[in-house]
Amino acid sequence: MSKIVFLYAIRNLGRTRLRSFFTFFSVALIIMLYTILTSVGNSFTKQISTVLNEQNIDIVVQAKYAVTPVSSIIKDKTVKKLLKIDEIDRYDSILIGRKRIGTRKSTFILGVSNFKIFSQRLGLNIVRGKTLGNNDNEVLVGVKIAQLLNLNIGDKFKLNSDKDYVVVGLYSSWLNLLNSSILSNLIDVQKLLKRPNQISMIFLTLKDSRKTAKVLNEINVNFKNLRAIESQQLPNDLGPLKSVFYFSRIVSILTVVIAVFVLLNTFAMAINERTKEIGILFAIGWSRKIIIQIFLVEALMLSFAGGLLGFLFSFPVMYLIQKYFTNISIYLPNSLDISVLVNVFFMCLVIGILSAIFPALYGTKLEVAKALRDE
Amino acid sequence: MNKTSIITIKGVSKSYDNGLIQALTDINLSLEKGKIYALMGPSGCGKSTLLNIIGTLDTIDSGSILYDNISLDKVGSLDKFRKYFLGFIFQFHHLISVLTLKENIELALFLDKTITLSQCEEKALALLKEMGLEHRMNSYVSEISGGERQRGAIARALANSPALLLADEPTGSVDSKNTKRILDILKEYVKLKQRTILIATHDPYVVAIADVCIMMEDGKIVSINEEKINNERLF
Repeated sequence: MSKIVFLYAIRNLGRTRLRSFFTFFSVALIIMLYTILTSVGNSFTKQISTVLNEQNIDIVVQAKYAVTPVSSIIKDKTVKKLLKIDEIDRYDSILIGRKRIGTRKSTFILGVSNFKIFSQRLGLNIVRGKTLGNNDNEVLVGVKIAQLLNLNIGDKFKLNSDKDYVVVGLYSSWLNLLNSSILSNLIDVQKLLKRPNQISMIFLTLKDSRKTAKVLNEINVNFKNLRAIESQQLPNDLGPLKSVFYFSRIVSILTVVIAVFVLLNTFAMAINERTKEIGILFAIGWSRKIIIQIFLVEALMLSFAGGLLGFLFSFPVMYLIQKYFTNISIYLPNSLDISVLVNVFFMCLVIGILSAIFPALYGTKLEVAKALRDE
Repeated sequence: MNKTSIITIKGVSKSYDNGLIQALTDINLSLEKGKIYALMGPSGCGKSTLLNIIGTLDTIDSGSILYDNISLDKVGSLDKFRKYFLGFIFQFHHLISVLTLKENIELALFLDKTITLSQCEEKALALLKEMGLEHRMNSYVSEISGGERQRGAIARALANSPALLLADEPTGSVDSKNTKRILDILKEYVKLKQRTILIATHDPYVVAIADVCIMMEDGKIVSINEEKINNERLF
């Protein structure tokens, strides 16, 4: 396509610069929203999947009717019975709860059965202080929550009305969720949450991964109160994650629809205003196809420019969210997600084409002589 | 039919609003190569409709139009036909306001696949020079005078060296000085390239340069005067 066509398309956008600017800005905002939401869904799924897939966990077990891991209750005696299954090579358990700390409404408290393995698996890095010892009432605090609550090594704070807990170390992890949590030994957390002899989830590693299906069946048939799933299924099975994921998907689709309508409105107006010009182009020999191409180029320029700005702008916005809203920040990615960029590219393409093609098809279906008489 | 005819119109009729307005009735006309035709008549007599029909911008109800002995019904792509064989000049320049004068001409030239981008630019510059507009090549429509706009529009119409140039009141919105200049350009074009021009007009200056004067009234051709009207003294 000739340089003149691009030039013409750019100048056309410039002639209604205010309208083009607002359309461009709307697309940018929509794509920014899409990028943030999709990043949230993808990031959280990716974080959980990475933990499970890379750390050789075959099966995850939680209470059958638990909607979230926090509401999952598995009793000790059930665990003992479960561990009698021959194929199980290793198991780890975790208790997850929420507690109000200071002004912060709700903080995740995690009790782990084997801190060493847990920290290795999740790439826990003690940035200050030491790891958990054998003393009671010791806690490790994630860097984000430490920053928010202004906690330092040796600080004491109350998690229960009667006992003080001592911060022995600050840690960071690539799993954002953990950076906003407090970690302690399983026994301590059971006491703290007043859930003695209970755990939330069990992670099983089998002697032979090929027997996963058999063990899954055995657990689900013989343990009426438990629900065992393949580890890869966990991200789809987690209630809140599922909600975040579906919500982000629904909003993503809505954003595309909204963007299409915003641009569609712009182009319907633009084409209507340029009826006479379309007539002139026909008169000098332009075909309908080339005239439609002009409108497509204009729409694609707007959608891609808006999309690029929105995508780039989403990162400082996510940074600010991470800095000031730690509750949400656990869902946000730490780095650029290329898959989102690919989605944004295709979204811009779809938005551009859909928004211009219908007004262009309609607008170029005119009686040339009548269009030239139009004032 | 004359051997040198470029366009032959046979029994063409056209009506609007389901026959309520009869714009053209049984038009028979033959336009020869290398001649200037002045199409005259009162407003609303059907001059513009006839131009639009010959220019394939409007359809006919009945009759037929032959271009070089080939019926326009048999022309596959009317866009290509307009691109390679026809040029339009309107009363109001109809240049694209967001483009410069040079770009407006390139807009018509770029469709020609046989010339390169640089040739396209060269040709646009040459046309502007011919029209005495080379100093205005980078000016937008809003920055130039009415006469310059109309000459720019003529340059665009001549860009593809059309065999038939259709002009609807081309001097209707310019002063006498520019009228003379425009008509000189058109005369030169016909003389040098042996092309045909059909000009709908009320302007006696246009009639003065015309080889044939066609009079219309109420959608019908009432006379075709092939005698050169001696109006040269007007200039």
